[in-house]
Amino acid sequence: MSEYDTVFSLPSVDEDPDTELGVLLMGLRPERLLAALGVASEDDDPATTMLVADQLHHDARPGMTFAAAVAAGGDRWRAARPLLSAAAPEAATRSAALRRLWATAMDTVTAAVVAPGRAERVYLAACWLRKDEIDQVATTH
Amino acid sequence: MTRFLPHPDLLASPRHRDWPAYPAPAVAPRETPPSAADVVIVGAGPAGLAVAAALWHLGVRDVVLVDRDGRAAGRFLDRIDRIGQRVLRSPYEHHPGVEGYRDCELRDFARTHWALLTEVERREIRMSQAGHRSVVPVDVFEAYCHHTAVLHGVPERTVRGEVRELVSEPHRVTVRGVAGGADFAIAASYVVLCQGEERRAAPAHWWPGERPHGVGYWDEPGPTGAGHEVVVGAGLTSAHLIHNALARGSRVTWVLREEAERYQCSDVNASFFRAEGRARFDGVPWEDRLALMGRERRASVMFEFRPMLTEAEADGRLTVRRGAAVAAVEDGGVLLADGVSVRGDHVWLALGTVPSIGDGLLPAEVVAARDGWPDLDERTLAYCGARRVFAAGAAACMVLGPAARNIDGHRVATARVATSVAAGLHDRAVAHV
Repeated sequence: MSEYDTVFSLPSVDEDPDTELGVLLMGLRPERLLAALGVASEDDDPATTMLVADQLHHDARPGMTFAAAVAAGGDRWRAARPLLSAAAPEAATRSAALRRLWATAMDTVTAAVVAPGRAERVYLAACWLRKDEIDQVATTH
Repeated sequence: MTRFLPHPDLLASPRHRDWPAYPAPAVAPRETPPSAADVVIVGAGPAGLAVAAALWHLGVRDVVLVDRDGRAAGRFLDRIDRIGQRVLRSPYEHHPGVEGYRDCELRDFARTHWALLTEVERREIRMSQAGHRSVVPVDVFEAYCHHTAVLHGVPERTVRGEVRELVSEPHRVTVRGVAGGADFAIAASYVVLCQGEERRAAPAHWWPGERPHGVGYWDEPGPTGAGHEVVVGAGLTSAHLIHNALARGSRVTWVLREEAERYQCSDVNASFFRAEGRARFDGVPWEDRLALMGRERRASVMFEFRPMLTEAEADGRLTVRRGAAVAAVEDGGVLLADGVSVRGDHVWLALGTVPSIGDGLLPAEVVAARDGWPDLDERTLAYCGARRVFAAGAAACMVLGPAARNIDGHRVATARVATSVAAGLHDRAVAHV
């Protein structure tokens, strides 16, 4: 083993990049997640989508408001929500491992076949992991 | 005990990698400044960017940045690229973004772009998450600065130009300068100087008259082929110059005026980035601060260079002249005080930097320089002789300690300056306790 190897002491570095982002998204406010879901386009990568949501949150993007993006995300969420519920594994155990949790959520989104683009799938998975908060925010926008 | 072992590839982060196009319409810098603004920030480097972002979150939006380069952190990055630096010395915790407003911070920005990072860079992020020392790729820092600038409206508020004079009056400051070949004057409620540092010139006695042939400063063009290069200096820039020279096959003589190399992770002791380090300055007599600055603000080489330099010296590609006082610099050579003449095809001078403290812009009696440092109100970082003009960056070293010149020091300075400015504009008192 290399003397630089930190494999036993730190989280892995070679998982799918979307997993790293997904773990990060678990800590964002639900409005930010819905805004990102609202602006995610088929061609975008999830990182770019997050930057756009960040810009909207700072009123730094002419032509669209943060509230409009949240509302668009709410529409997408409400459309996808029943399909995600149907695709979710029954009586799934909630893992304490964040990366495992993320993988399960992505599996659910993939199984539900609700989003054609990678960015949309990532933000739907993030919303699915926080579905109670997201439901609440989506109903008020 | 944790033993820190730098990864051999740590200094070789890719630069100018294929980063995705930034998702925002390009905004050209303002050609001409407005005639009035709430705040003028002089310099759009990391400190100016930090101040602008903090003011934005405090509701101060009528801001103009005047910058020689016209790009946020542009000159800072140009200097870095000039010496081929690939990673920053500052860790992930040090960045010009704003804390406390749930803005994306530097480490999370890097994690967002995980796919673009090498395995070594990803491990550095894990080290940072675990609370250990980490280094930041310049590519990540550049993209983060751009994102931070766009979020806080910096590009459209930036004028490419040069400030020549500040006229401080009781209720405003007139900022005079040149932009686009024309003179301008901005009536500002407040001015924040974020000028950074300038290259330190060689002592006048090193050469009489014209600079000798084959001698150049670190930020000037130098040789591109192999030869024998002489590097005079003791800091990180010298280490990069040596690294670059060795990489192109040159032999190098390092003229180190210090008794020995000084390796250090950050440019100042880590304690100065924390409250207990700054406390060593608070309420301490001037002479003691000065002595501490003399001791701590010395040139040092980033710890990660040590294996490379040690190996090069051992195999003869690098000769180190330790404790070598320079008597004179001649055509393609350096004459040491002990009479030894060090010859080379090119002599690089990397003699450190001098903080810009506002002299040349403000009258000398306002700067009131003492031992090279301006007279600042320690609670607000305003000039005691011009209460509407503030300083952030290296100029605040005698208030905040040697870390003031570091990106993290900018954060501390920004917190004091931005709250004072916002409170003044909103006609509120602010408690500095």
